[in-house]
Parts: sequence; structure tokens; C-alpha cells
Amino acid sequence: MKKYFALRIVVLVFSLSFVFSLDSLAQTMIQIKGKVTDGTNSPVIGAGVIADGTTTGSVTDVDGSYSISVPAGTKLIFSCLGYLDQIVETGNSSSTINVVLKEDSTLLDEVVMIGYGTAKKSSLTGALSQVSSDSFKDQKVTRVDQALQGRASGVQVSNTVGAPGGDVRIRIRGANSVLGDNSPLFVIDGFVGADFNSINPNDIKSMEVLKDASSTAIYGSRGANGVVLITTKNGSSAGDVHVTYDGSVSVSSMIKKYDLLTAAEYAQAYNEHNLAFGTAAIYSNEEIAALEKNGGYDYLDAILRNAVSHQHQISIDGGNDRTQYRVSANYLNQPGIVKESGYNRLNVRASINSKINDRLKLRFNINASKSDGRNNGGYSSASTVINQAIAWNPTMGPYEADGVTLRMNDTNGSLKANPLALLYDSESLNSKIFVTMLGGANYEILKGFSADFQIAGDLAYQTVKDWSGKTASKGTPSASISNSQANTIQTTSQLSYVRTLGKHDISAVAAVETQSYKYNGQNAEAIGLIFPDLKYDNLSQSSTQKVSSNFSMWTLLSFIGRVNYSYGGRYLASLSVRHDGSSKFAQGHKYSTFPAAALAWNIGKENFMENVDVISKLKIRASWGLTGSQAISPYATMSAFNNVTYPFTPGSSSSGIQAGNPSNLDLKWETTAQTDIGLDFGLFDDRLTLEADYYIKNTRDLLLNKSVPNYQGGGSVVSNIGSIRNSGIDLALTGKIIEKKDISLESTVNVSFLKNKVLDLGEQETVYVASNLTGINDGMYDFIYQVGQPLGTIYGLNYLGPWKKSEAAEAAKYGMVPGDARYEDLDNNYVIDASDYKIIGYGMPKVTFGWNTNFAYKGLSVNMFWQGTFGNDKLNYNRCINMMASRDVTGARFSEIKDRWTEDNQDAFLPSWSPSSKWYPVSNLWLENGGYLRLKNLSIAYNFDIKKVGNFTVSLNSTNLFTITRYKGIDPEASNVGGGTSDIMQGLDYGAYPNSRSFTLGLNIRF
Amino acid sequence: MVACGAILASSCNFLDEESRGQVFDSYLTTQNGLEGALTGAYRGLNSPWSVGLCNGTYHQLTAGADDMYLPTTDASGTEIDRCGVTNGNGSVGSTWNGLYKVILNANKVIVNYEKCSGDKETIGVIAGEAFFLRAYANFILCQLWGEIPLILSSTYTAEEATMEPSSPAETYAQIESDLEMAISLLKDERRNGEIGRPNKLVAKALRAEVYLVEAGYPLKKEGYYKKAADQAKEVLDQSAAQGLLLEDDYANLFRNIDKGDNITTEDLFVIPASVSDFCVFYGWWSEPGEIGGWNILFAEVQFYRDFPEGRRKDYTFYTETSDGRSWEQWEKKHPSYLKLMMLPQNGYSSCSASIPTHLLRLSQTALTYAEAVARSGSATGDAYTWVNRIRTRAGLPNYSGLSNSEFIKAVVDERKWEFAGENVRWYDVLRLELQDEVFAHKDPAYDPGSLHPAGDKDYTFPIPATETLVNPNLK
Repeated sequence: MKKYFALRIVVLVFSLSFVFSLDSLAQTMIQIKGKVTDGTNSPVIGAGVIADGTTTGSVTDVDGSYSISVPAGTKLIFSCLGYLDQIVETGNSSSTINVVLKEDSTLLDEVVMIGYGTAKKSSLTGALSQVSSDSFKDQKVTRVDQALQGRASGVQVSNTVGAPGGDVRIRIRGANSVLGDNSPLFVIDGFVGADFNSINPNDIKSMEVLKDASSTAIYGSRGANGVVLITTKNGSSAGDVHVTYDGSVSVSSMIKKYDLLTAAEYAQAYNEHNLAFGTAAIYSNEEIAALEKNGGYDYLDAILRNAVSHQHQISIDGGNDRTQYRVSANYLNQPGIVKESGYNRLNVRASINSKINDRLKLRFNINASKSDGRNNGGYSSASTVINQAIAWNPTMGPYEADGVTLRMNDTNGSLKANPLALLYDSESLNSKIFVTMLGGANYEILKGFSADFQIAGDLAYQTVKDWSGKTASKGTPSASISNSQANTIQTTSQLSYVRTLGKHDISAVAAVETQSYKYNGQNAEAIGLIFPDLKYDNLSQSSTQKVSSNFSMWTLLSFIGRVNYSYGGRYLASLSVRHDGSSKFAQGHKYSTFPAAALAWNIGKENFMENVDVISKLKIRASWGLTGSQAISPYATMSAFNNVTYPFTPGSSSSGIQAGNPSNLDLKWETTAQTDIGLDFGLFDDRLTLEADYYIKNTRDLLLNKSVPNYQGGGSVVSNIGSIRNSGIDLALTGKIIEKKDISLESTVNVSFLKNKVLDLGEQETVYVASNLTGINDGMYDFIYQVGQPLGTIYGLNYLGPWKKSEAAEAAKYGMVPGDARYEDLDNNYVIDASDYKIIGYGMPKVTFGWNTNFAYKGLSVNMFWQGTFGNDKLNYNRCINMMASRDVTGARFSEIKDRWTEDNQDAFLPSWSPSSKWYPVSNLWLENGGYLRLKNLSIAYNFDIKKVGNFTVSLNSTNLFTITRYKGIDPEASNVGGGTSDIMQGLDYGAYPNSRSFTLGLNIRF
Repeated sequence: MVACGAILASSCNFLDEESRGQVFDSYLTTQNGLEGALTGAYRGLNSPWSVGLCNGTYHQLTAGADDMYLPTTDASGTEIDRCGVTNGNGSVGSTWNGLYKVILNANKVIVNYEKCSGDKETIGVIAGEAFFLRAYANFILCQLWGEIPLILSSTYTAEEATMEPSSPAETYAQIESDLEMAISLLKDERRNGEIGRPNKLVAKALRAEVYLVEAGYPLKKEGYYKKAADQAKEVLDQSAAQGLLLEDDYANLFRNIDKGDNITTEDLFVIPASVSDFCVFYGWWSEPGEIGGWNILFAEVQFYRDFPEGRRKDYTFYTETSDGRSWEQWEKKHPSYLKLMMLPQNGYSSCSASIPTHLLRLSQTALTYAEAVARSGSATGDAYTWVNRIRTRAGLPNYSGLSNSEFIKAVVDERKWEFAGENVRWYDVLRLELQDEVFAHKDPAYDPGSLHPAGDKDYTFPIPATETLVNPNLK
């Protein structure tokens, strides 16, 4: 309420003079006195107290006290700017009446960031969700995506890789682009295209998620995926200095255990498999009995651990009404649940804002962060620690007879490297340094008319070191080191005009923005290390070395304009346009224009709504606009060769070039037209609010990778063909169920319904995509995109269960016997081949759900956050490879194999082991319902003051406490194909690093 | 700010793309660019673990013959071993894709060499190598798949994306014309003396093989056995002068030691290997699980039994592990190919080797000559000499005085033993239509029967689904 303090003093003085000018009427007068306070028990200064139907009045003083003489039985009206009026009837005698005024939330207008400016929340025309730092401060989040998750409708966050610092998939209102990254655009303090990994969530003041086109079109060619505006914290102008410490310790462990065969069962199953295929049993009965007695080796147990991580942050902030500053430093140490994996981050941030004189303001901030990831990469190949810990034969330990040397090869198990060697004899380090510097000046030329200039530089240095020792590499130790330097320079020159003329509010902005990006990379690789223990630090000691370097760049030039208009806060309109030019396109296609318009009607502010007390807020919004995507890499309009080598004599290596993807000079911008209709609705003084939006996004000139058949060189050619539609409903329902001084309960449910549909693919009906996971599908397609179907459509054989005894004659036509896998033969030609593939599932969730509940009682607060997705399928390749007992894993590992078809188990789902049976990886033999509901977070925090020391908050918080799902894998949320990349392939599980369950103890001290 | 904007707008090259760091088609008119693209064509023959002929999958593709067995536990392998390949088979892609990479990059050279600046003589040889590579790739593709898309352009064209396949007759016409160009452009020496490059003689040796295949199924061209014989004879006559000699000891042919060059005196066309550009069918791919191998490729049992005893047999098969277990006691109950292993006596094996892939040996030209000359008339004394030199080295008695048909059968069998496990037998089976005979002779206790539709003579593979789905006109 501080911001109204000055105003209220004015009202006080004004009202007092008014009161004293009145004559008192002589009736039966009683004297009423009392105190007016607000919800926090603070005095309300300058509140008017008026006897209804008279001109008699009084005003509260600095203590909130008032005194008034009125006729008996009068209705007193208590009113104050920023509060709801309250009417109290006096008795017949003098008395004390204390009043608690409620804040009027419709008047207490929050200011939100809208991109190149700010707006009052009540006068917004677009669809925007705000996530303030208060909503996640007790949950000890370590990364921006965790703060966003479930707190804004229409935003879908999934931790596809559970490794610390691992990949995350963030989507706002679905996926528009087939080719490009569908991650939203992050704007940190005006720097467009920032990396959210570079910022520590404790430095965030608020995040605004821009969803509809009228909000995002101001970001033009990069706005199509939605925009997340991040504003960082700054010092206060109150004149004091605060020091804040925030720290936490957390323990993480595997979310669920794999159900594996015991060593004896493994040996038994191995024999059964061999006998079924006409080869010899390997394990004697005595050996199996011994394994039963002594057990085997638990590889998973050997590679997993309970990981203890900790985070510390210290910040100093302060300032006065001229200059404010804030400096913070944060350290995060986060080991992973797989041994030898982890993530460290050190982050320092400083900002200073200064008002030089009445017209000129300067701002400067710098953010530097260094992160080190260790073995926390994508985990998408067969040779991952988790996959091999499952695959290795449990009847034998990992060591040679000497008990120390790690075995290079498995026997009767996996073809790949020893999981312990992958832990201790190989390494993948990824270190990143980000430095973002930003300086800006704002000059008020005339009242309401100001110029602003900002320049920002973003530097990203990355070093990746990989090493594979002799055992892990199976005899060919190798190492590599690669460095890259990327820098982006952005300038924004902006003119703003804000003016209120009577009932007309106008704000306008015009800007020119440039961005230029340059990237250099250097890579050195050595094969056949002579001294493998020197790793990547002495590459010349090897039999072969390779060096390479590369360069790329892009530039973007933009012209931006926007006008917002409001009439009496009731009729609102917004018009914006951005004209973007990009170096990525050829002459003639470089520029494109992205306009947007929005209208809103604040019905709640109409006169005729004044008497409808129940409805505290009612606004309808409509918007339309175009946004773009340059979902192509630089140089896509030219066909570049790939670098290759060939040995013309044994042991030599000559460099050469091999044809790369074909080019297309006619590439142009991919454009998304979005229409949004929204409703903001509040009941009972906004105790119950609903934000609802319906949207349709049509993306045209879709940039598509048209498959090039392998006989033309394979790969793909990028073309502007086709279109995609995303339509859906975002709902956010918030109930302030209890709202008392000491106790409150607030609950928000976010539900997003999304329908994604490919409308057109040019001349093609279908485009085929192969995940190419080695050892699984051998290049056969597993996904398609097809007209009428969503992205992430899974394409495979329809498994119909094992052939039954009664169907033996029919099975024989396929050369099969009862128990063999039966697939639907679409063309009825008695051959199961590629012509029998069809759509068998959908990887993209249809509904995403988030439910966030906060309960507070005095200093105690409890937060509970549920998250879920529904209507998505997952292809569980883990089950496939660990039960088919072929290819890279020669023995069955999952206990489920015991339920396969046998003479005694003819109702089985899994087919029998049989030489005439084929277990196709891309079939609904392995397809499962991927929907889940997960208690993502449960936290308890207690806040208390210690006199003369400071304010303390202690919190305990748990993530991924439990999950309700029918999915048989470890983690329905983890996926192998994830992250910021494509949405064509979704819902593959192949030993992905699972999310962990963790418990965190946190402490926050402010003094 | 307005001034700022004006400066930016006027600097029209702000949006220009700087493309340094990339090589584009424009470089193909320079000799270095042409040389680079040629190297790229060779690379299609061998991209380890990815595409080409040096991956074990190429060996799998020719396992429909009676010399190689793929265990039933691998469903894709079994389809090939039993001649029932479907278009979704996962093992065929790497060979198909690699050979087309050879063709596309060779096309880059062939289309551009005449307008290329630089040393004309060297440019001519570069083009000759490109013609040779294109002929070689089409030759393998056509034998395995029959009707194939015949690609002659150097850049992607929309027309070719929807093209129909060419008949074998059309493809062989192109192969012949490419070899004609290769022979006229190549020199007598291998360029830079590098063993991985063909010279004129190697191109002629390849042409002899092409003629031999054209004389058989499906084209059965008149007079082509004669052409094959003449061409092979020319190569044999010039071979000694170029230092090409049969190895004296069969054991020297596949020394397979991962140090040293492993090049033999009879290598005509070879893919050399190195630590970084390795070969991935020697070693674990071809070794039994008992010694750490992957149990993927074995010899067929009846074939092994029939194999004439002697030094050649000893150096062709691996039948007993060092702990004394013979192949009958191994898990997969089939002998392994010693030729395709890294020699177990080295006590060291791996999944990748810097051992070269021998694609065409002088022995093959010799037996091609012997067969072709007998089929186009009668066996000459020369033919007997060459066959007997190969038999002597194998530890077998000389042939003499056979009837012409006996001689032909003897030579066909000799090819089967001499090139066991070297991807030669399957092509012989195809051109001589021996499938029924071959399957009838297998021991069903070890090697299961054919899945091929009875009576269907066409044993070529269906074009992979990865191609037909994108271009349905190929079906």
C-alpha cells in the first residue's frame, strides 16, 4: 500500500478542510470513534468516513483513527482509494466501531511486462500469464523451467531427461513447426533470445508468459512459439540495505526400480531361449542352482546412488530513490543418481539503476555464469550406463578373475561396453560460460514522451571434452575436445509515448532492433590413445588425430511499432507490427511483416455492472496476429558438402567432401496466424477467478524437411510446403478458498486441451521419420506426419497377440506356429512387411494438467503441486530390447518375459520365443499409454522473525513423491527424444535418464 | 535513434550471409574441389557403422548362398539367409545407401570434370576413377536388387524423386559405357601409387566380371562369355608386368593382423582401412560368442563338410576355441570364418579393424577367365594353368583332361571354395540360377530351408521401404 501513501495524505488534507467547512445539524447526536485497518492490521490513513445521506464526514489520521458525530442509527460509509467501501450502521448511543477494509483488487492494478513496454493488468488485451517469484520461492527451484512448470496455463514443461542440468521440453500452446525448435522465445531484461540456463531463478522478480499473437507479434519472426519475458530483481528504493542468504540441501534417488530377472532366472531363460531356437543350453542345472543360492551381480545397484546436492545464494540489495543496486552470487552442486554424473553452476549477477536527473535514467546489469555438466548428456544411445547396467549378464560380475580389472566383453549378455567401464573408464564433460552484459539509457524528452536505447552483448563459451578409455571403447581408446565461442550483440532504440487525455489512455512505442550472431568452433579428436589415462589432455599421443573448425553467423534487422488505446478502462484496443529481415534467406525473401490487433471489453467496469456485486471482474478479449519462425539453420538456401575422410593406403587418411542435403533458394518465412478469444471472470471480490482462452493457430508456408530418398543421397530438402493447425483451450481457475488474516488457502488449476493437426503437406500425403536408435529399429521409420494427423504420430505394425492354437492353420500360411507374434496383415498377402504399417499411436499429449495449492497459517505455508498429461502413447523400446533376446542384448532381462506365451500360458500378451516369430520394435507390442498424474512437488515452509537478527524461512520439500500411471517403464515423463528440438518424434523410451525423487531442506535468512 | 536506424537501414549488407566455413558446388570447378568430391565418392564404400561395403551387413546380404549362415535369433538375418527378404528388412539399408552415396558423388565429378580448371591430365584420371566407382556401385546394386533407379545427375532434382526404376538391361548398358570411359581415362599406374585407387587394368578386370554376369541370368547376353574371357585374358596377360601375382601361400591372403597393411600381391580392387576409417566386419561381427564375438555370421555346415581338405580349408575356417571346444559345442553350432576374423592367435580382437576389404582379387579374374573361356568354347591350356595354380596353393591336386562340362562345374566349385565368405558365391548362384540346387543340398538339421515362393526365379531383393514409401513409383 505504500504507493498510495502520498495520495492519501493529500486526500486527508483536502478532506479535513472540507469537513471543517460544514455545519453540524442539531439532532440526537452520538459520538462514534474507532480505528480503520487493512488486512495486515496496518492503519488505513486518509480513509473517508461519511454518514450516509448527509454531508457529514471525517477522515482517519496517521494512526487510522477517526472520530465523528452523527445522528443515532446512521449508516456510516467507510471508503478509501484502493479499498472496497464498507457500510456499518451505528447504534443509538456513542460507541467504538473498528473497521477492517478489504483491498479492492480491481483497483490495485498490477503492472505487467508486455515486451517493449508495460501495461496495467486490467487493461491487457492479450493472453498473458504472470508467474511471480513469490509463487515458487519456497520450493528451492534451481532452474527456470521448474519455476514455470504448472504455474501458467497453456505452458507445458516436461523433464525429458532426468539428469541434473539435463534437457527439458517447454511448449506454449503446442508445436507449430515441424522443422524448427518449438521452444518459446526467452527475453531476459529485454535481451531477445536469451538462454534460460544462464539465469538463476532466485534472481527472477517475475515472468510473463505471452501466448496469443497480439502479445507475441511484437517479437515478429521469433514469436510463434510464445514468449517468456523474465524481469530480474533489483534493489529497493527504501534507503535500507538487505542481505539475504538462501540455501538448501537435497537428497535424490531413483524414482522406481526396474523389475529384472534374478541371475538364476536369467540363466534359466537364456537356456529356454536357446532351446527354442534350436541351439544349445548354456547353463547347467548345477550352475543355475548355484546362482539361485548365491545370487548374481546387481549392475544397477553398482551404478546408482543416493545423490546429495546443495545450493547456496547470497545477495545484497539496497538503494534510495535515486539509485538502486543488487548483487547476488549463487552456487549449485547437483550430483546425479547415476554415479559420476552431475552438474555444477556458479552464477553472479549485479545490477544498478540510477536516476541521474529528472529526465535521464541509466541502467546496467551483468550476469555471468559457469556451469559444468559431467556425464549428463542426452542419453539417447544404446551405450548408456543405465542401458548397459540392465543389459549385462547378471550371472557374472564386472571384473576379470583378478577382481580388479574391468571386463571388456560380456558373455551371453550385452554386445556393448561394461557399464562400470562407462562410469569409470569414460567421461563426457560439458562446461559453459555465459556472460550477458546489458546497458541502457532512458531520456524523457517531453512529459510522457521518452527515448530509450539499450545495448546488450551475450557471450557463450563452451568446452566439451569426451574420453573413452581402453575398456569402455572396447580396445580403441579415444578422446576429443571441442571449444566454441558464440556472441550475440543486440541494440534496441526505442521511442515511447504514454498519455492520458480525459478518458483516453494512449501508449505507443516505435523501435529499431538489430541482432547479430557469430559462432566459431574448433574440434580436435584423437583415436588410438597411446596413454589412455592422459585422456583429452595430450591428444598428439595417439595413432590418429583429426582437427576441424567451423563458423556460422546470422543477422536480424527489425522495425517495431505498437499503439495501445483505452477508453475509460472499458474499451481497449491494441495494434502492433514488426518488420523483420533475416540473413538466412536469399535476396527477395529476406523481409516479412508481422501485424497483430486486439480488442477487449471490460464489461465489469460498465455502469450497469456496478450493482452486480457478485461479479467482481468480467472482461472479454479477442485478438488476431501473425508471427513467424525462421526454423532453418543458416546456409539452408545453399547446399553444403560434408567433410569426410578416406584411406587410399592402409593407415592413411585423406580429406574429402561428400554431398550434403540439397538446397532450396526459395525458402521463406514460416508464418503462424493466431486467433484468440479470451474471458477473464471474477466472482466474490475475485475470490474465484477464471481465465479462459480459446485459440486457433494456423501455421502456413510450413518449413518441412521433405525426405530425400537414399538413392538421391538421403537426408532431406527444406521447403515451404504445407500447414499445421494447433487449436485448444487454456483454462486457469483460481479459488481463494480461505482468506483470513492468519490463514489462507488458495488453489489454482491449469488445464490445457490441445489439438494438433497437419493440414497440408504439399504434394505429399505422408512424411516418414526414423528415430535411428542403434540396435533397435535399424533405420525403419517409427514416426510419420500425415495430413489430418498430429505431429508425433507413431507408425508401426498392429500386434494382435500371439497366434492361438485354434488358429494354427491360418498361422501356417505365414510360416508361423501358435505362440508366434501375430500382426495385422493389412494387404492380406500373407507377408508381414512395410505395407502392413499403420498409425498405432500418438506421442503428443492431448491434455496437460497442473494443480497448485497453497495453504498458509501464520508463518507456516504448504504447497502442493500436481502435474499430469493425458492422451499420449509411449513406445517403450526398453521392454523391446530387454526381452527380444537378440541383437545388442542377447539375454532377456525384464521379469515380464516370464509371462510370454508358452504351452502352459496360452493367454499371454507376449509372443513365444520361436524361430518363426518376429518381434518388431515398431509395433504396438511395445506401445503403452503414457498418461500420468504426478505429485511433482510437496513443500512445507515456516517463516519467523528473530528480533534484531532477521527473518527466517525453513522449508522442506519433496519432488516426484509419487506418480499414478499405467506406464510400465520407470518414468512416463522421461523421453529419449526431447529437449528443445523437434516435435515429430515424441514418446520414445530407450533407457532415458529417469527423473529422480528428491527431498530438500531449505533455509532463507533476510536481515 | 532515428539516425541510428537510418545508418542500419542504409548498411544494406547487414543481412548478407557470410558462408565461409562451408564448401559448396562452386568449388567443383577447381581441381581440389573435384579431388575432394572424388574422395567423397570413395567414402560411400566405407562409412564405418553407417553405410558402405565394410559393414557386416554387406556380408549378411549375400548370405542367401550356401557359404554363409545367419543365426535364426536375428530375424532380419534369417530373412536373407532363407531368401525371404521383405522390403522392411533392416539389414539392407547400409549397402543400398552407401552405394548410392558413391554414385551421387561420382556424378559430381563426372558432370563437372570437363569444365574444371587445373592439370588436365590429372583431372582426366580423377574422372576415370569416378566412372569406375559409378560402374562398380551400379554393378553391385543391380545384382542385388535387379531393377534400380539409375541416377546420372549431380544435384537433387524433383524429377528423380518420382522416377521409375531402370531395367537391368538399361543399367548394364550404363555400366559398360562407364567402364569404357574409365578404361580410356585411367592410366596404367594407380594414381599416386595408392593401392586404394583403380588403374586401367583394374577397370578391365571389373569389366570381365560385368561381362560374365551379363552372360548369365537375367540378361543371358549372346557372346558375352567370349567377351568376358577375352577381357579377363588381357588382364591376366598384363598382370605380372604390373607386379600383380597370385600369393604363393593361401595363408598370406587373410593375415588379418591389425598392425601392418594386409595388402596382398593379388589385390586388384581394395578398400584400405585405418584406425579412424576402419572396417567393421573383421573381429567380433564374424566371431563366435565363445571368444567374445557377436554370433552374427557363420559358415554353413554342409558347405564346411564339403570343403576339400587342405591348407585352404585350414585358413578359411575357425572351428575350435583355445579351450578345445569345437564348433559342434558352440552355442550356435556352426563353424566361423577365419578369413573374417582378426586372427585369434593375436590374442586380441575388437569390433573394428584397420584391415582392408578385398573386393576383387586376381584369383577371381583367373577363375572368371577359366569359366568364361570354357563356356564360350572349350577350356584352354591357359585356363587349366590358372585353375591348377589356385588348386596347388589350396593343397589340392591338379585337374587335367576334364570334359568341358566337367571343367565348367569344377571351376564354379573352385570359385565357391576359393572365395568362401567373400560375397562372390551369391552372385554366382544368381547368374547361374543355382538356388534350388543349393537349398536342396543343405543339411536341414543346421541350415533351414528357403522362404522364397516356389517357382519364382527372381531372387533379387525388393527395393527398401525407405525408398518406396517416399517414391511409390519404384514399387
